[in-house]
Amino acid sequence: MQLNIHSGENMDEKPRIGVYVCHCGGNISNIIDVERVREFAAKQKDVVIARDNEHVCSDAGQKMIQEDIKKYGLNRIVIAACSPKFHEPTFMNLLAESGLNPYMLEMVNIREQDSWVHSDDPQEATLKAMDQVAAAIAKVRLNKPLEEKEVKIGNRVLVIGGGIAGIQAALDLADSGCKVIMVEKKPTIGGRMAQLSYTFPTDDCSLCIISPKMAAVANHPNITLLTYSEVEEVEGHVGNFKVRIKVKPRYIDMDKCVACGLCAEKCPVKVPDEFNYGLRMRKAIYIPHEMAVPLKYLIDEEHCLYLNKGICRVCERICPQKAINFEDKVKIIETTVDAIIVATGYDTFNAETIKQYGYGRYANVIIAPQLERLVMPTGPTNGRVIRLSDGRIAKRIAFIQCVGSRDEQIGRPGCSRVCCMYAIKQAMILKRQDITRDVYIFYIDIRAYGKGFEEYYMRAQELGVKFVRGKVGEIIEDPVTKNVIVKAEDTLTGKWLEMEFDLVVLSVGLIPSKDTEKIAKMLKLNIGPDGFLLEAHPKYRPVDTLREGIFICGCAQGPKDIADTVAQASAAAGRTLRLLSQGRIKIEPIKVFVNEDLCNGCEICLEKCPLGAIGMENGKARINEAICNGCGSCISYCPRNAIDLRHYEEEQIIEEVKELLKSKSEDEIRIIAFFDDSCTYRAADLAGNSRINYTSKVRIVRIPSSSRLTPRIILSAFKFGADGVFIGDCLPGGSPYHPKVLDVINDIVRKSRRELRRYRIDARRLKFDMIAVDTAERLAKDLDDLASTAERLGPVSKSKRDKIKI
Amino acid sequence: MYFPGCALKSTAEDYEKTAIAVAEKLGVELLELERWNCCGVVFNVAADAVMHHIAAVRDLIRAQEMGRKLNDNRLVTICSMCYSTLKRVNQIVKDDPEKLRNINEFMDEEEDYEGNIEVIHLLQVFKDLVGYDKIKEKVSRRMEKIKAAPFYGCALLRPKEVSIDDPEDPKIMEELIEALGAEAVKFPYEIKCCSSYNVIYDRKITEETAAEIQRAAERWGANIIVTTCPLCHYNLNTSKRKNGIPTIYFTELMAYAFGLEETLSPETLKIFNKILEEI
Amino acid sequence: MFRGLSQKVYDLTGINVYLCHQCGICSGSCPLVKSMDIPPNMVVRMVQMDMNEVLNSKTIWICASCFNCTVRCPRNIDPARIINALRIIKQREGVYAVDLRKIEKLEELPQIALIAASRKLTG
Repeated sequence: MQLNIHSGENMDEKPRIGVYVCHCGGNISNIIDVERVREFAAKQKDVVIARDNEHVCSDAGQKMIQEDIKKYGLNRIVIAACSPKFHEPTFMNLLAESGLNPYMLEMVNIREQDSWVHSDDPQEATLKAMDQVAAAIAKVRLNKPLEEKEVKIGNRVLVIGGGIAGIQAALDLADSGCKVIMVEKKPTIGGRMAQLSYTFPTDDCSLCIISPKMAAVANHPNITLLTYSEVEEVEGHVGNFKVRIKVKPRYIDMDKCVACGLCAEKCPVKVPDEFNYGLRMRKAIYIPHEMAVPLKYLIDEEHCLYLNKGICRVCERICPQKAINFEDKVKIIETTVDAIIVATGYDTFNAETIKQYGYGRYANVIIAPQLERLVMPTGPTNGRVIRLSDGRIAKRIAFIQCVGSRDEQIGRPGCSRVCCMYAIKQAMILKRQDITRDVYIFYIDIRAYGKGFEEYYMRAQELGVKFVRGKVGEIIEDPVTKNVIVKAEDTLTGKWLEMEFDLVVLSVGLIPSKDTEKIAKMLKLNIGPDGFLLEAHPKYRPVDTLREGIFICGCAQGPKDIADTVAQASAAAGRTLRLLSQGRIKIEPIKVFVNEDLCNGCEICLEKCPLGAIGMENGKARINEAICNGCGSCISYCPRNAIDLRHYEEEQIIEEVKELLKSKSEDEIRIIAFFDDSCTYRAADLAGNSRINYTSKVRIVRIPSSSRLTPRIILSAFKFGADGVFIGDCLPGGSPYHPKVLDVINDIVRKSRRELRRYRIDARRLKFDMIAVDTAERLAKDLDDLASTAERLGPVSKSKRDKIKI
Repeated sequence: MYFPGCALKSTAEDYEKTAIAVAEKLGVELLELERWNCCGVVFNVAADAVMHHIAAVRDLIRAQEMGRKLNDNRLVTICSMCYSTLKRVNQIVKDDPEKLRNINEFMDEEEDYEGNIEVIHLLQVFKDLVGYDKIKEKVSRRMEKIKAAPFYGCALLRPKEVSIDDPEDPKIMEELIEALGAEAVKFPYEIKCCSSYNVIYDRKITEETAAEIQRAAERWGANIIVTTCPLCHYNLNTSKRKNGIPTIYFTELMAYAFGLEETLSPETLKIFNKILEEI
Repeated sequence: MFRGLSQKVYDLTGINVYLCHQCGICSGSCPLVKSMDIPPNMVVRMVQMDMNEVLNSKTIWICASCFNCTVRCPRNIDPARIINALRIIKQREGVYAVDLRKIEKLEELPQIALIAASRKLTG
């Protein structure tokens, strides 16, 4: 998809600029000499008309601009007033209504970033306003009309994953009238929740509360359910994702099978049953469990005798429905959807990695998910919790917490959030089965943070579950009795413990499901440092991704319990509906573009794009504008300067910088400050609101993200007279862009500093800091510090400046 | 090239003798460094402990000199503690060129150490260079009555950066014992500490630790403990228990399996004979 | 950054003892903990609280640097090195745990033990 550059306007048309300077009822004019600024503006090249007005934003002010556009044939507008965060949309609309492209507007912030922060020096404040206006004129002269493209959007949603997260999201969407396709890798939906015994802190039977929802999915007229299927490929963008789904062969005709089970009775092949973590055997023809949805048998092709050795076929003979079909093949389904919800869940940590706990070597060391199955009355032991070594009922049982969580040694420093509560739950089940059992929980901290959790913890203590605060060092198995001996320190008494148990249960943590990387790659989603899928913003966009139209929920995003998963799934459904209900959506036109004459197809930008929005076509880089969000991370890495950002083109910024420095005299110092629009610019506005004065030596350039800068821009600032350059951008997580933009900015700063040293310019003149929206003081201090550094070092000499080549 | 160290020239003479003999039998020639000094045992962890690394670096320089003549950069250690000290110091100076420069400057009477020596342990030579198949071929005695529990101790396994195997679940000696035809008894104390120099600080600690390890090995069904470390060897045989099972060097077990009785001390031979008699 | 003992340990090892969350796995893994007067996790705790009396504990001399705790510490802060640092602090004050001249059965002891001990237990 390519953006249409507005063709109605003649690009060669001579710029005719109107400049409007606002008094803001004294807010600006009490400090800044508005009259002088207007006179200055009027004298600039291409300026046809310059006016000042008490309130430019008022109806009268707007009308004045509209009339001027008509009367003088203006084609570009500069407004020097309050922060663009207030009225930029207003004025963009005004331009559109007057027949101009809305992007032919520049706003100069002379209130929050001038009169309100330089009240101590009206003279300098006025000079700054004049420089900023000159810069805006220079920029607007080069502005190009941009078209906001619209995409139609329907109501088809793909839900990947049929666990409780996918189920909840799919039902919410289907009930709202969306057409949902649910794709589940396993032969049944229900996910991990269907394998659990009871749920904390209410002790509901897990399967009992999820099976009605599983049935609802199967029966919903708006849901197409594809089990034993995987999404293979996704292309396209919001409103038009082309999806390829592989349906694996079940070798059973689903329409004929009535799940009578005769086939499984006769099947001679036994394999460990994954639903019961190998605690029971199943046949090669099987249903995952009695409440599976769909309740249809399937043949495990890895173990079926006929499919592997060409013998047997007993199921085929016995099936009264003639449902067996050994000719079944992989089916491919191709379809398009408007939005996607990823609910691919988690895996449990592989406890065999922690050798000192002996899981996999010692029969009586098990993992918590196995205990979930053991305590189930319908489970492999009919609810009897036994020692796996000899089948005797386990009387003394220990839980070990944080196995695979909170452990730097295995690279999993985070908490898994559910293990404390499930261990407490399981401990109580064990005590209720037999109150004389000795049940110990070895823990580091008990995290009972949820609603009703602390009360639940208290109930366990009431029941006599013993909590020992100490992480177990190691477990050994007695070679004769097969008892397991736990060695630990009770850190609360300082006593060394060596205790013998019948059974040790490892409370394994939650890790990203093994397909996470594959899915992230396929959908071009990002993965966080913990390996789970990354949300667009940790606070405000917790179920969005940086890809428009793709949402995440449940444990695919990070460990969480059922209640949080359901809340998040409904949130994802809600966010999806918000998008779909618009009918059509606008695509922001500020994206990077490739100058094909310069591009030599080196492909460096492909790796540098954090969103994977760049591909190759005919040996040239090509931007997928549906994915690009305009962070500009690719720009500074292009060895041939072939990439640029619309509306913030390198030449535009350099022109701005040049104008900002034009009035500077040889013996004064001047700072150029690049503020990213999301954080630093807002922090600077806040400094204005809070009337925090800072150095008036600073001149400001507004950019979407500092990752858009290049060493060339920074060097030009010095060439044209800057004595210090400040770059501000968001803290990690604060930016609407990808967290990797910080690495890009650091690279730009490093490369620029290297260049500066080459020209014998002190690298301390270039300062970068991460600024949060609410840290106005820090920003003010940064600017003051840089100004005093520059003062101390003195202005950069003309001879040095002249040597800079850009 | 191999680095013997103090123990092999005194209390652990048997270790050196058998090591050289079994290596020779397997076609590996262990050439003692022409000159060497104490490795400066026990790696000092303080960031400013340059002085403590000097002894080891000097040995690495000796290896560098001799290695040039032999066209070989591998320095084999037999003693576990020498392994640990030389390996860690080698790693530190390789990772920190500044530190290496300081040390080189300090020892200006020596040639500079260039950081190219590779420190390996004899067990790795047997596993990776010789291979267990070849070892199996050389076994000339029925060994199945010998139930040997490998005892690794600390120095070969920890910290992780210098470990010759999985620090929580090592297998290298177990595999060697099996290759010799003896029964390997994996017991959970194999990675424990023998209490090291506590034998000097407080002998009681060592006696108790040794007893605990011996008891465990017996409970897990071993009739002999096999170690790589002269200090573990000494300490485990210092157990306060009378009639605890004996501890020998892995090279002694190999020598016995290969029929090289002449290299074994009478005491060690007695240990083997006793095991066979009892059964 | 810190003050007192925790700073001294930091200077010697670069370890920030405040990263310890007191899980106790070091003590649970220590083969010599039964002989110690203060378990290793508490030694680290006392350094966190800048309690100089930890320097008088037997533990700092008993620890044999076997690094069992190091390979298991979930915060990767290396308790064995912290204890080693405390030993070095004492040594640099001229305090040694043993007087080499008073060792009994000197001839019987292996050289390696003597040397290791003299490096670890004395200055």
